[in-house]
Amino acid sequence: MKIKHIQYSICLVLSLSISATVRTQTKLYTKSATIQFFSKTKLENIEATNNKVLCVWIPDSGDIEFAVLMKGFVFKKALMQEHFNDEYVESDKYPKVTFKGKMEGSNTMSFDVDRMYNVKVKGILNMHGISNEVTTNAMIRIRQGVISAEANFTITLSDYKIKIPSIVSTNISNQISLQVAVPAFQSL
Amino acid sequence: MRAVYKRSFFVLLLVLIAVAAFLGFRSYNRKLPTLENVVPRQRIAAENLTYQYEHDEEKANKLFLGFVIQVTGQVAEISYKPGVSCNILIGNAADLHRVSCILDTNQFEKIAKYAVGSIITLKGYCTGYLIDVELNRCIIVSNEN
Repeated sequence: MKIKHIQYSICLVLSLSISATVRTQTKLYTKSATIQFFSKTKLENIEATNNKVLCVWIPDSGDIEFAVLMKGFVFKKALMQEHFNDEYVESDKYPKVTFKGKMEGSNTMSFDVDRMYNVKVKGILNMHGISNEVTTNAMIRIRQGVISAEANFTITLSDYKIKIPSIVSTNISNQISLQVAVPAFQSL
Repeated sequence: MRAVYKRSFFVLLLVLIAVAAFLGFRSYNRKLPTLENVVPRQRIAAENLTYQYEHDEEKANKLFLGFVIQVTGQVAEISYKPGVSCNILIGNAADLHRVSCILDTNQFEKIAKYAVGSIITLKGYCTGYLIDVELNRCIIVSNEN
């Protein structure tokens, strides 16, 4: 009886530690998150979309990372896309933008119940070879087992030493609005 | 006589300004061209392309980033939202890194000919490497089933 009790305890401890390990190791990812940017100008609004954004999120630790290819931004006009890549972000020299951060309260989320969580994400955005701290609010939505996320924030181009040519500097805003959307995370 | 020259000069000037304005407007509103008639910088097998990126991303970027390249390989996955978007993964299904190709919207009709396991040749604009090597605005070159 005593042996059975000890065996049962060992099994319980083992199963708990295994499930804890599995939970700790759960990684969610997507290769098809979207980033849209928007800048209001006197001449014309500038907007572009990138639909191939990589995002990895470990809910238990709150670690979240994004990687974006600069040449993956698609503009409505070819000239805008050429100027963006060649003159502003120098995408041959700096092909990627990365964000590494933490999501607050991530470890307390339950993915079994439909609901929304408003969270704060804080981390380092590296763009154009410059790193700056970024903090933003984000929304995580759980609906029928599908986990999606959204966030909006603004960055200042001069913080990343992105120079706007003087000939158009009065027409192009130094502030860029970014919309990030993850339609559905997958388990890694 | 001098007045005639003067008038001709102004007419010519106006025509030149109008032509310059037209060309400027056309250039400003130019859409991204289709890659149909673009000669690729390189023709390469999907496995070779991913191998080069896996081993030396910086070196591979110098060869492929921002260029139109032609890639041949096995279709590993097709994600098609009719009328919206189509993404084809090329490479071995078991590999972690593959070539991910966003098809140009004018190519959607051709996708019905392909399934997982088909051999495909695509031409696309290389935007770099994340988990996969990424190609945009892809055109299907041929079906080598």
